[in-house]
Amino acid sequence: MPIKVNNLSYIYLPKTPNETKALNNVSLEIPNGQITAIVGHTGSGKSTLIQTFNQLIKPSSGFVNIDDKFVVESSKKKNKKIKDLRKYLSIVFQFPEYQLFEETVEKDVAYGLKNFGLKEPEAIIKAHEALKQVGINESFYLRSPFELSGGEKRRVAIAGIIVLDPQIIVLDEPTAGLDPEGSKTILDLILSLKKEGKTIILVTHDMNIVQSYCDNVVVLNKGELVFQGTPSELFSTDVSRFSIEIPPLYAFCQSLKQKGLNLDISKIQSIEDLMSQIKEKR
Amino acid sequence: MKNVVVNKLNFSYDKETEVLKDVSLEIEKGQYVSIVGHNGSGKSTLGKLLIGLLTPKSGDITICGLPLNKDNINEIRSKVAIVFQNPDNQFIGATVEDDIAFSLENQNIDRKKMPELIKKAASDVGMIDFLTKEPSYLSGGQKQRVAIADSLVRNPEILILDEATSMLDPSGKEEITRLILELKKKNKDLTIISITHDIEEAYKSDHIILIQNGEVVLSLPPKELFNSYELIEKYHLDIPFEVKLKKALIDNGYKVDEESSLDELGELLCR
Ligand SMILES: Nc1ncnc2c1ncn2[C@@H]1O[C@H](COP(=O)(O)OP(=O)(O)OP(=O)(O)O)[C@@H](O)[C@H]1O
Ligand SMILES: Nc1ncnc2c1ncn2[C@@H]1O[C@H](COP(=O)(O)OP(=O)(O)OP(=O)(O)O)[C@@H](O)[C@H]1O
Ligand SMILES: [Mg+2]
Ligand SMILES: [Mg+2]
Repeated sequence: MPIKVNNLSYIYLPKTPNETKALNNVSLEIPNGQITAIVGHTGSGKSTLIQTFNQLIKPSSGFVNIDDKFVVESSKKKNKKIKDLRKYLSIVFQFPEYQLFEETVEKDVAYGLKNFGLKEPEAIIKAHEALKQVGINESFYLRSPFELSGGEKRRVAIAGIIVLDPQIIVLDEPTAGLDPEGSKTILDLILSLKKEGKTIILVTHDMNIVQSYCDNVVVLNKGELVFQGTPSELFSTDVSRFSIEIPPLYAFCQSLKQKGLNLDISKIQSIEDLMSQIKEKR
Repeated sequence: MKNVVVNKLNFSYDKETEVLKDVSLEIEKGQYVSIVGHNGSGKSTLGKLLIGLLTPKSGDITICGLPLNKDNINEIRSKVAIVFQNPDNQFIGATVEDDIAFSLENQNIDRKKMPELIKKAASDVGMIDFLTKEPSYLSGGQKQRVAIADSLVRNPEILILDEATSMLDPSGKEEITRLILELKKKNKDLTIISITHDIEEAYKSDHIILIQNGEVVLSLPPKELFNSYELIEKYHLDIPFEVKLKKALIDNGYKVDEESSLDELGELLCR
């Protein structure tokens, strides 16, 4: 039971001089239990699209069906299941600042849990576990989330969502501002969540991540869907028209193929994969 | 000539934890320097100290030959532009146009020339169609583009970029890099200090400064850094693809020359 986006359009500030059509008749499917990347040019509508998934914004027209359990549509009717929906599908925002508001880091991460009914001591214990998973140690627990570095804020914001244990986790540029080790920590965490059976949706500009971690990729351009498929299908088409850059590993494998080496690039996600394919050939 | 001189700088936000410890560094006029280091190492704090937004606990900073102090701060701020890590912290104006205009305040610029300068800056970063929009209602990457326009329009002598392109798409990143290199061609003395986690970007700069736990631990040209596996491992650095590939080839028994290009590495694998 995938996520089905059906003829979705979204207009910001309708009927004003600054009206912006951010999504235009987008239809797509996101399969369960996999990692799907949403990519595309600045302003192409990625953040807008994901915000419709748990009804942070309501479609102007069209609808989103979440695993046949929830439907987000344009009607004015109140969605009675909205709290359950937000528990089922949670979003880490592009700017962590939009998500941080409590007076301490641990309270901030525990906030959502308490909102969903968990009592204080358990909520704080769970918060600590989640913080550990994103590389934030106990010296941060009682600090203000506003007085952190950029990367520390992002980690805390990610912990605040992971801790809720949603079935679908949506992360908007989760590695922006993270140091290389931090990126790896978060991406490995995402992989382990996938192994647990979660559905993961990542908005990213980093094609290395798309190649090495994602099962599917969706490309938006000026509010329209222009591609849906696997990463290697994407990179083997002419991607320059979508302002996408072929990741260096993929480009290198392509050049090896041109030189006559017989490789199955769709199976290569790392330099190690490449080296072992070459060894097999010998 | 040295354009930025930092001498034994110490700083803490709360008097308890030292955030910067005895930081000393020198940056030549016209150099393009990358500052790298793990989350929370003190990079943004250093950036804010360099423009006098924070005050050091001890030590001193000299910018374009002027000691950073109350008397000089306005003059220094007219020469230095910073793009903050979070673009929302940059915006003052109610529209993109106003916002860029605000950065021209106190720059001794002929009022009549301002509209033209604003239009040029906005179109340089690809935001000319957004002049009447409210900065807070833009997408992440659009915000970063406006923040970059805010600082470029001032034609600074020193440009500090704090992860200024972290949310741009690859072609957007390239556009901005090209734009800055063009500026540099026009003004050879433009000094660029770029705080970044993007190792491919740092690889292209003239010089890398590595900060760890508030201390400068390395200051050297990129090639020197990435040719030393010892340093890479010691400081847990990410490595550019080219360097990673060479290391994998060596580990697999190939004879690799330090200077070989990607194309030559490819030839080696196809033999
Ligand atoms: N709150 C808002 N009010 C009005 N217009 C908005 C708002 N948020 C976004 N927009 C506009 O809608 C379009 C799509 O924005 P969106 O944030 O979805 O882009 P994005 O693909 O996430 O881009 P980025 O990669 O830069 O984050 C952009 O043109 C943007 O200016
Ligand atoms: N306003 C503040 N008040 C108190 N402590 C702060 C404040 N801002 C940052 N810090 C702390 O100072 C240290 C250095 O922060 P800084 O923002 O300079 O790091 P950074 O190197 O820029 O990190 P990042 O890569 O995550 O942006 C961090 O440990 C951070 O938690
Ligand atoms: Mg976005
Ligand atoms: Mg920072």
